[in-house]
Parts: sequence; structure tokens; C-alpha cells
Amino acid sequence: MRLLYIITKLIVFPGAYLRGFWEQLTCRLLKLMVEPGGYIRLDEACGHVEHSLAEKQFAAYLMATGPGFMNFNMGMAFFLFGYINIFTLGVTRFDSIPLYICSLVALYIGVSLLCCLFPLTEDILRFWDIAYGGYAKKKRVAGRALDGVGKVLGFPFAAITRLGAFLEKNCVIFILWAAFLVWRFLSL
Amino acid sequence: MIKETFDPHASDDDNESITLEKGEETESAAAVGEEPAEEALEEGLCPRCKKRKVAKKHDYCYRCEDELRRTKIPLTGIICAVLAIAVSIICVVIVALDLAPAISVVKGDMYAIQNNWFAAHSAYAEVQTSATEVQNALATNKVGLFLGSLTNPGYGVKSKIYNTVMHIYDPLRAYQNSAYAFGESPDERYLKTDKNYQLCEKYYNRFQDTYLAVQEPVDLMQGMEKPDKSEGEKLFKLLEESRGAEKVDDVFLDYFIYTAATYFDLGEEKIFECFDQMKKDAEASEDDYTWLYYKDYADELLRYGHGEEAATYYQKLADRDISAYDPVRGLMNAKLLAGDVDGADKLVDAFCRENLINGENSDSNYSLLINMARVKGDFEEALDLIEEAQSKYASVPEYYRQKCLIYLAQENYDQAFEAAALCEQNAYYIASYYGDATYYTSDILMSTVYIATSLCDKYGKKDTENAQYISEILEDYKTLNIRQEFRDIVSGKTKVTDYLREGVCDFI
Repeated sequence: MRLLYIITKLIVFPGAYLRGFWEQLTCRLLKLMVEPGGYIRLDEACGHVEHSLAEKQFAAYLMATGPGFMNFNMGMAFFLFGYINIFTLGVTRFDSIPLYICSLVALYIGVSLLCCLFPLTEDILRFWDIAYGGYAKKKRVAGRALDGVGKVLGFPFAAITRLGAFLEKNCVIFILWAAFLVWRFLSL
Repeated sequence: MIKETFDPHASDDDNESITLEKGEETESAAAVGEEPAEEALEEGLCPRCKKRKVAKKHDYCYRCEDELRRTKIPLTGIICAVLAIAVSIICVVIVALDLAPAISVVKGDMYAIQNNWFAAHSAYAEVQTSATEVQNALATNKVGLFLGSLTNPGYGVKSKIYNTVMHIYDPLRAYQNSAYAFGESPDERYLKTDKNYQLCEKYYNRFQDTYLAVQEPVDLMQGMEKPDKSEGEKLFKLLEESRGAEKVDDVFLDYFIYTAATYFDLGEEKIFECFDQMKKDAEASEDDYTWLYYKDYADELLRYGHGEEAATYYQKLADRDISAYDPVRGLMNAKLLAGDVDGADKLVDAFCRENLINGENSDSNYSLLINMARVKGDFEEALDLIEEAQSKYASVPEYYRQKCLIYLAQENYDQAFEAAALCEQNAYYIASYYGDATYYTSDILMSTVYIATSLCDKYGKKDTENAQYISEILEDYKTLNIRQEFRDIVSGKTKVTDYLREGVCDFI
């Protein structure tokens, strides 16, 4: 699984690289320690940076969702541009080679960004632990603890991120995207 | 993952301490990265610099921690991120411009899934209009022109339009009108990859090859002034001799034979013999030929009074294209033939509800509604509907035909003739300008015009202008093959009102 994970991250290297960048930027903003070592590496942290875990509630939330949020926004823009041109407006290589190539590249970059949305399981588990576990009390974490309403409102996002992190770690998201694109190209 | 935490509130004494707490980590804090070097840990030195002591409750010395907090962000990362943001903003702008044409395509796809091919065609046809509107709005500067050029639909949409034409009409007509979908000079390389185009081309080539093989008997038939049954036998023999010849498609050959059989009006037995053969050959073929003969087969079944069986074929056609007018008209007539006026009314209502265009009736809806109003004997309502329909769709010949039928039912032959003449003119206009001669050459038009003109000639008042026109039309119709039952109306053996009574379908 580790090898498959690394291979998938190498295939979607633009998304992995930018994901790593956003993580490092978030760490910098939150003053978390980051081990230098690049964003594309041949281990489980491929597409991420090695960093210390956040202590505060908001910091943990931002580490879990911030980089993914950036990748999602940019990924959707690239993906929609490529998808609409190729699959909806039906641009082919016989219409305009530059536009077709641009659309293919945008589609690839978009999907690569969308394949790298979720944090490492450590990051989301840390947030989960602070928000829903006993970590906040034990460590007297700074910031107001989530009250009942906050816990309920935040639960879907936390749960989706936790599930997404698990799926991404096991390459399921990459496989789903690959299958979707193969199906769309075959149905052209 | 870098091991554990940094406490900003720790005292200097603490910072000098080398105590390492263990077991404080939660599951989430499981280390992913490198473990501090064991040797350094044992000596209480910072595993990174291996010089200074580890701060209390920390993994590294403060200097290393400080350095790690300021790990340099690579310049390539910054450049890539800035570029990605800039390009994604451009993508968002283009996506926003593409939105209107794209929504039309999606609408078309949704209709196509439901087999609502006319609505799908309309939606796909809007794509280019939307794209042109966007381009015109942007055509104020070079950037706008460039952005506008990115909203052009490609061959994918053209192919979808072609597919709708193929379903609304048939593969032969789709192939003959390829320029409508793909433009005057499409890229041949693309056409070779388009499955629908290739399919239509295959049918067209088979049709052409068969036509060339049977050209002699077909020319013979077309050259006849009147159907001559003695020549007919020779003609059928020639057609049959072509069977099995190289490049002759059996199903198309069967269709030519059926056409000849109807031309010579050889009667029910011969016509259904032709269809049996056609069905047999079509089933033996790997390709689908139902588009070629289903409608004719259903029409003939209805004509010879097999309404129930005709309805099953009309239903198959209606399922294939829920927006198609002919199958619904056929189903309506089949119900009328069975005396089920209410059933026919409900069927028309259901069809009209499903085929509204922007909440209003389509031209097909009006044709059916007028027909039903007339069949129910509500002539006033039918005439009101005709007026309303003509204010929206001025040149639909069927509206004039219905008007003509109403006047015939009222035995007002002069007005019936005028409506029939307008019906023929509009059908001719459509045939000439749009290349669609289906209605112009249809039996229902010819029989209506023939009957209305003949009856006007016989019983009408006829002003001078009309008299000349009537004689011209009747002269033309001398050479046409009009069914005996309609000639009987003109000769007075039967009454036209028998065909136009309440609950009876007209000249099917």
C-alpha cells in the first residue's frame, strides 16, 4: 500500500507538490515546526511536509482543512475548465489543438489537485482529539473548547475530512478519479 | 511528523532541562518522520544539532526549534503557487463564460436521456447561440476576443446535434443533411471517428448501391403517367432479379418493392407480404432497420383496420422519440378507430403536457389539439386553436389541412378549397426551402387537397381566379396515385362527411 500510495502521489505530482506547499505555508503562519525535505518524497509523507502537531483548536482545524481548501478551490477551477471544454462543449483535437491540449492539461492538474485534498491522518486525528476527544482538557488547550452546538455543526466536516484522509491514504480517491476519467473518455 | 510540542510559556530553567516526557502523546500524535537519534537521546542532546541539550518537554533544543519554525519555503513552491492561483483565476473566468453554453448542453443531454429528441435538439442548437452572445459581448478588445474564442463549442456538440437529427428523422436524411450539423467543410479526420456519422454513411452507401442496382425498374415506375398494372409485373420481376446481386441490400430492396406495391395499389395481401419479407431480412441483418419501415408498417396496419397491432408499432416509435408527432398521431388514430375518443383525448393531453416549450404549446401540440377538437365535433374551439396556432407558427400546413377538414365537414367547399390550397402551398414551401418533402408528398395531404379541390369543382361557387387554379390542381392530380376510396368520395359513391364525423379519424 505504501508503494501504491507513493506511485499515486507521483502520478498526481502537481497536486501533491502544491498540497505540500500549502501545508508548509500554514505551518509557517501557525508557527509550527517543519522539517525540511521537500514536498515530493518517496515515503508516506509524499505530498505533505513533516511538521509538529498543532496544539490549539483553531490551529489544528486549519492544519486539517486549510491546505485542502486551497487545493479544492484551485482544483475545481482547473477541473471545470478542462471538463467543460472536453466533455461538455466537446472540444476535440480537430477543433483547436492548443485549446484541446490546454484543456487536457487543465483537467490533469485539476484532478491532481483534487486527489490531494485531505490531510495526513495524524492532522485530522489531532483535530478530532482536540474537538471531540479528551485532549483539550488534559492539555488545557488554548481557545474556547467546542460546545455542544459547535460539535454538532462541525461534525460533518470533521467526519468527511477524517474519512477523506483515510480514503486518500489508501489510494481510494485516486482510483475513483482515475475510474471516472476513464469512463468519461470512453463514453466520448 | 516532528515529535511533540513547543511550550511558549516555558521558563528558561525549563528550557535548559533535558527531561523528555513519554506516553503523553495521543494516538494522533504518532510519529511519521524520523525518530531522534538514539545515541543523542541517551546523552540528552538535541537529535538535530547533536550539540545542545533538548529543552524540557521538547524534542529539540530551542535554536533548532526556532530554525524548524522558519524552515525556508522553496522559491519554486512560491512561483508554482502564484502561477497556479493566477491560472486558476483565468480558468474561473473562462468557466463563467462557458457556463451558459455548457448549461444548454447539459439540458440537451438530459432530454436525450429521456429520448426527447426534439427538445434535446433545441437545447443543443442554443449552445452556439449562447456562445455567440458571449463572444459578441466580449468583442470589445483583443483579450475579450481571445476569451470569447475559448467558448466555441467543438465537434462534440456538433455530433450531438447530428445524433438528434438522426433520431428525429432517419439516418439517410441525417447523412444527406450532414452539413447542417457539421458545417460545409467539416474535418474529414473527425468524421472518421464519429460513430453516428459512420453509421449513417453505411446506411446511405447501402441505399445508394441498392438504388443504382434497381435504377432501371425504379425509373420505369417514375416514368409512368399512371400506374399500369401490366407494366407492374415486369417491374416486380426486374426488382426481384436484383436480389442477391453484389452490393444490393435486401432490406432496402424490400422497401423499393413495397413502394412499388403501394404505387400500383396492389392491396392488403401484397403490401403485408412485402413487410413480412422486409421484417425477415431486417432480422437477418446485424443492423437495425426499424427506422426504415416501422412507421410505414404501422400506417398500413392502421389503414387496413388493424388498429391494435398498429398501436404497438406506433408505441415503439413513440418510446424511441417521445417528442415525435407521427407516432402520437398514429396512436390517437388507432384509439379513434377503436372508438375510444376519451382515450385519444387523454393521450393527446399527456403528450402536450410533456412537450411544452417554455410553458407554451409546440407546433405539434397545436396540430394534435386541433385534430382532437375537430374529432370531438367542437369546430369553434378547433378554429380558435387554429387561429392561436397560426399566430405563433404561421406556415404549418397541417393547420390549414385541419381547417379544410372542418369546412368539408360543414360542406363549405369554397373555403375548404382555399384552406387546402394554402396547405399545399405551405407544404411546397417547406419542401423547397427546407428540403423536407415528407408532408408535401404524404398521402394525407394529397388526399385532402384532391378531395377538397374536386368537391369545390363539383359543388362550390368558384370565383374566376379559383376556377383556373382548381383546374390546374386537378390536372396535376390526374397522374397521381389517389386511393380508390377517396375517388369514391368525389364520384359521390360515399360521402366526405362519413370520414369527418365525430369520433372518426380522417383520411388516414
